Amino acid sequence: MSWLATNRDPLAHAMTKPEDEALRILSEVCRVPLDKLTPEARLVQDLGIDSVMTLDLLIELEEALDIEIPEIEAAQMETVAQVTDYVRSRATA
Amino acid sequence: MSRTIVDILARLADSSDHGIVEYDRRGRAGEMRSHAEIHRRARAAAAAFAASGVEPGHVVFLQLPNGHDLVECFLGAVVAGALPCCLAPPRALGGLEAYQQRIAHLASAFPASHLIAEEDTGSRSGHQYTQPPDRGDGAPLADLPEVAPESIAFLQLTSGTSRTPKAVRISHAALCANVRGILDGGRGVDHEAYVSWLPLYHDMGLVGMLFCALESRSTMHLFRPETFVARPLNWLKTIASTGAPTITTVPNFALQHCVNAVTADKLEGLDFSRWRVSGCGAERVRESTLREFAERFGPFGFRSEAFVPCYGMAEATLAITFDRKDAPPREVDGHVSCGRAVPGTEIVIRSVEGEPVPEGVEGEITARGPGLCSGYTGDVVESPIRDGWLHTGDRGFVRDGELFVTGRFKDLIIIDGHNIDPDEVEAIGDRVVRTPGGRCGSFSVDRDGREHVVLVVEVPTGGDNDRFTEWADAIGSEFASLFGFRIRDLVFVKRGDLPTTSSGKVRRAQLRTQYEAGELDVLARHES
Repeated sequence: MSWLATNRDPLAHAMTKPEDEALRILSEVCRVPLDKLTPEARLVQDLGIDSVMTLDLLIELEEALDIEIPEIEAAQMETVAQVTDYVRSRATA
Repeated sequence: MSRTIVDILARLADSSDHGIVEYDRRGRAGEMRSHAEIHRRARAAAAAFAASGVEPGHVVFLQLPNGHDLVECFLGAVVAGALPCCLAPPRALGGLEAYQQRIAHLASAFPASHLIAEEDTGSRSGHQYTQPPDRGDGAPLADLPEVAPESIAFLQLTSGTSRTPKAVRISHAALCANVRGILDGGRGVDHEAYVSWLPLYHDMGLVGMLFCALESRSTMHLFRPETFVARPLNWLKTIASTGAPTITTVPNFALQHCVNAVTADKLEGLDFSRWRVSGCGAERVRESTLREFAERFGPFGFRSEAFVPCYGMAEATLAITFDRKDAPPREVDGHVSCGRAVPGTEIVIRSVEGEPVPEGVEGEITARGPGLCSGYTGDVVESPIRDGWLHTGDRGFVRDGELFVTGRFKDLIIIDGHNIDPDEVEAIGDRVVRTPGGRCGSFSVDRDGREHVVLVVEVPTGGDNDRFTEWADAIGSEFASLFGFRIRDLVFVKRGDLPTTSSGKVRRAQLRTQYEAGELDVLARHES
């Protein structure tokens, strides 16, 4: 999973919307092109995320967006839209 | 030597230089909490439990992440005479419903039980819960009780999702015997270092790491599983810097994950020469993984002699055999040796008729010794112990006294160290397709060095493509929400095509053989 690590330009991050950043991370973690990440795509069933990728995804999101995603919140995310909605609500909270 | 968990706890009272370091989700270390402080806090938890209605014999479900709260509530429940039982967390990405169902099933199977959880998980559990009790300075302390070694100390769930939860009952004596066997057989001494991210709801994390660390009064660095998965380097760096002989135990996939995720340039300056035991168990140990791991980490001081492949299961508290020589593990025909029986334990390989077979001949692995469980809770499941011998359902042979595990007689699927009961996978197919008289068969296949789930479903003749897509979608969605990953291959066949026994039970092993040989008459399939 180290191909994800670091080298993120902090300035670029500051100018990116959190939901776009979330999509970029999702795309990297699932190794699925961005255009396949439709809002209704289901994370496990359609994108093939497994338990290892799930944990990776959550930590990447937390670190990139400087938020904490409690287990129970993550348990309610089934689609791409639910992830982007959640990070948007947290980042603007 | 401790005879009960209460003895283990009592001996912690004067251990103030060693303890547990808790790491948060991001891998940041907290201050070490000494064993003496853990001792006090466990007694405080016990007093609080008793005051809140926990009675001897009640079950205390602990829905808590790896950390001080979980350790101290577990020990506190034991002091209160209750039976602690650690639960897996709600699974991320769509696991909320499955989590609530699991809690509901547990509550109905164990009416005299309590749920301890943090606010976020507790409030969404759909069940009454209480938060870990306050154990700060000045909290009242329970006295340590006299406990009979043969009494049950805790429950260990063996498959997490089931409608009829299967919980193994472990006595104080079994726990202490197994821990002592692991320490003695592994030349464990006091005041070593344990660095673990294994969940404490897993027997290898609870018994092999936590209780071995407590009994030897060694410092434990306790990570969360997700932290390891996302950042294996944190765990490796901690191993390199404990300043003491260091012990770890992980499933095979974790060693492979380190090889895949941590390149040599990240290891500059790390020294693994004090990594004394690198245990590997809970799923098949792969020779290729050990070799690649040794190649990557050898230049940084890792010794192949540190590898300790092991074999065990919750029904034996934990360990049955492990590699005990100070040499790299042996390999025969692609199978890695899982070493010799834990001191005090015997293993015998038996034929289908139950008779011992000669050395080198494959058969069912059976074991006898003081670490065996006391059976399952309830009367739903038959005890795996017959005439004093645990019938493991695993296949293997012994050569020169060492066990080689080659496969399974029982139909169990193991993904990343977690057990999946094929009954539960098949039940999804049954619920969705509802073919009168139709059957489902599930098993695992090996691909890319991991196990993957296959489900074969019988359907009424004349299913059209739209129906197949609909069924595949519904099965896939239910499976994903229950287990958190995808079925590798979902195959539809005609009703009556699955091989069965005379009583109508699906022969899963034969089905797997037909599947692998391409002999199934496939109507439709959905691979991922």
